[in-house]
Amino acid sequence: MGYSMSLFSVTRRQFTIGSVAAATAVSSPISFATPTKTVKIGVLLPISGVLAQMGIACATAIGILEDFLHDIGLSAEIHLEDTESSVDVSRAKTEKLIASGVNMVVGTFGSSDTAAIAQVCEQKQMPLVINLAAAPQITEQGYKYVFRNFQTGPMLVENGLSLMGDLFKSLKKGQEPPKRAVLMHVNDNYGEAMRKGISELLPKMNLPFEVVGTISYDPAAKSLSTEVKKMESYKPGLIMPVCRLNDAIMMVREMVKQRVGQRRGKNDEPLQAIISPGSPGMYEQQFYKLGKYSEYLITNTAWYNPKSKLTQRAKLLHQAKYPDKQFDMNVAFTLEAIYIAAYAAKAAGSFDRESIRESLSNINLNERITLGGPISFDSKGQGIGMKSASLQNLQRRPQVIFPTECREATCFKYPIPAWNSPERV
Amino acid sequence: MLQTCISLGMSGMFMGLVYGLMALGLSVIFGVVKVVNFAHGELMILAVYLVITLNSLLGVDPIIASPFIALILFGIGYALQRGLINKLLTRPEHVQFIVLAAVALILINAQLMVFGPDAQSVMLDYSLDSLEFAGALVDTVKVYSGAVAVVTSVLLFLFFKRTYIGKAIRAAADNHLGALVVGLNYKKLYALTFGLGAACVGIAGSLMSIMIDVTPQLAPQLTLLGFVIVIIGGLGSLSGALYAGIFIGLVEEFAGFFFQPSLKSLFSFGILIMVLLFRPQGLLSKGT
Repeated sequence: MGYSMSLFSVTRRQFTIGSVAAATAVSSPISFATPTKTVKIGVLLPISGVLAQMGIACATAIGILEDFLHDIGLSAEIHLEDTESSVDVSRAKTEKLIASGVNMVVGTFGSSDTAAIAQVCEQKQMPLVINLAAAPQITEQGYKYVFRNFQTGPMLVENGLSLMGDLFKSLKKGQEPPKRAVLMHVNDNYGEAMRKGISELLPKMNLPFEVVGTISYDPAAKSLSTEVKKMESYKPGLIMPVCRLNDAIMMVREMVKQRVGQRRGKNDEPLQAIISPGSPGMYEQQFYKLGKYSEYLITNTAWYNPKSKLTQRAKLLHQAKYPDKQFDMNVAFTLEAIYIAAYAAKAAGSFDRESIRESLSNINLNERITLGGPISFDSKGQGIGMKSASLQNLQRRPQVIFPTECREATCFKYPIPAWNSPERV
Repeated sequence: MLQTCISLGMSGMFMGLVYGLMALGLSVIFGVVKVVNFAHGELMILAVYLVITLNSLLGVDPIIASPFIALILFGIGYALQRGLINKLLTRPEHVQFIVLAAVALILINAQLMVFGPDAQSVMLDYSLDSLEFAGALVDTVKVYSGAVAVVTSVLLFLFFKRTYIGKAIRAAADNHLGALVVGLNYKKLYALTFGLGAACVGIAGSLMSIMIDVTPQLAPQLTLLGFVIVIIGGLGSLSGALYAGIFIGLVEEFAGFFFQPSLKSLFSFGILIMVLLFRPQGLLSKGT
């Protein structure tokens, strides 16, 4: 049975009454947890280790959670554990959380760690809501207790390329779409999956450019000098980086040093745009330390919906609590995953794991923080109807330029100005 | 294409000079003390973090700070040799290796604790500038770094050739028994040598801080790179280390461009294997 609810239609009083009713209902002897008013959610995040940057960003969602949930008539008791960006630690910490009596688990960042905790949760019949992990295999294992509120890699690629099409279709007279593109990608599992996805999907997408070169590089590369030289030798109109934060910074620095796009002949195509088809890096807060060189780069990725009331509330809370930190997809998806978990527990009317699993299977939440249709999962536990956004770095922050209904910027910049252009300030 | 090749050549050469300076430190230590410094890359990363700290606190240019960093690293190297390695000189080689590997692990983890896992570098006013030679572009920082590496190497060669202590160190390295007979304090000389090797790393680290982004996890890669260069150049050969550094810098640059950049290391290690098979004494050493 499906259910849907507009969050702002529930008053605090209604929720209190509902909570009392739910607390009364959870006295079932088959419940794993001691019935309490508040659902206990174990949250696993990589607070330390190689994924710490993103994990810490995700963890800021927990800092605003109480107020956020309170405003919409929900509550949750959070038990946070650090996965240390390690598969083994992720597994051990999941078991620890389950043993401590949590009612459900939310986490983590990164596909390998998430795959490990999904295995444990399935084995222990513990509902898991995944916040950020894109490996498609996680929801292809036939798991019953695993629910992912994030796009898979192929979805990210398809949505990313589709947004490129939207952008090029919207160009005005005199603005030329690029004809030649170069894909630069990290050669780890994630980068290779993206490359494969792009090469499979691109011919079907009817985009105006062809990929004339693909350059892979080590994620631990000390410098990208050679890579950028090779990339520029193709004289591409479009550069498509599939990167992470540190290499994105290195790449742009090298482009500036090598004056990419500025020394081309009359017959060469000018550099029109730098668009990531779906990777982190160029919209992250630390990226803006590049100053004027961070401007006008575009990333197509899963993102929050700036027009959603829930998002606006979350952003306000985040801004108040973390004035120096950016509200980004890491915060948005983590917050949304916990929100889904808390809502599912409430809707289940019980903290029994099976009831929560059933509740998650049938969830149909109209209002969400991230882009997409109502929150719901398919029979494999994969979230459906999720969308990506096209973000352009404008005034040192990522601003949604597509889809148009969610646009934050009044207009977007195309083609990209030269690195030494006075337009860059 | 010619301009691209000139650009690749200059970029590889300047980068290689810094690699060479790093390897020079390793070669000096091995050539004299006969100890393989498994903590070489870690000492270099330590130098990078010292420079970053100095730059963020006082805004000092890493090139100007490099002699000061070299002095600090000299002190660390000297203390390490006197306080630890000298006590292990009579022990089997594997004991020395394990101890230095332990030092490396301690340094990596200490750096992770203090400086965190994020990539860091020093950004200067000229960090994103490039110079044009015959239509080819080369990074300003690489040119400056290469020049400093050349000056440092020349000073080191002069030290070993012209100074009394340098000659004494070479004597102790060539004939240990003879050095004892003429009354040289070889333990002190070894400590000085380790200090000098670490000082080279201090300068190389200062230069690296403006050329690449570093994390503590990069240290083992740098140690390995140092080994590759030293083996290709010839164990214990100072000039060999420098030339091999330039050679590896050029190979990485050209192989990355004409093949796949992610295959750069394949070429370096391929050359290493060829050298070990066909010229195990190194490309620039005279005999086995």
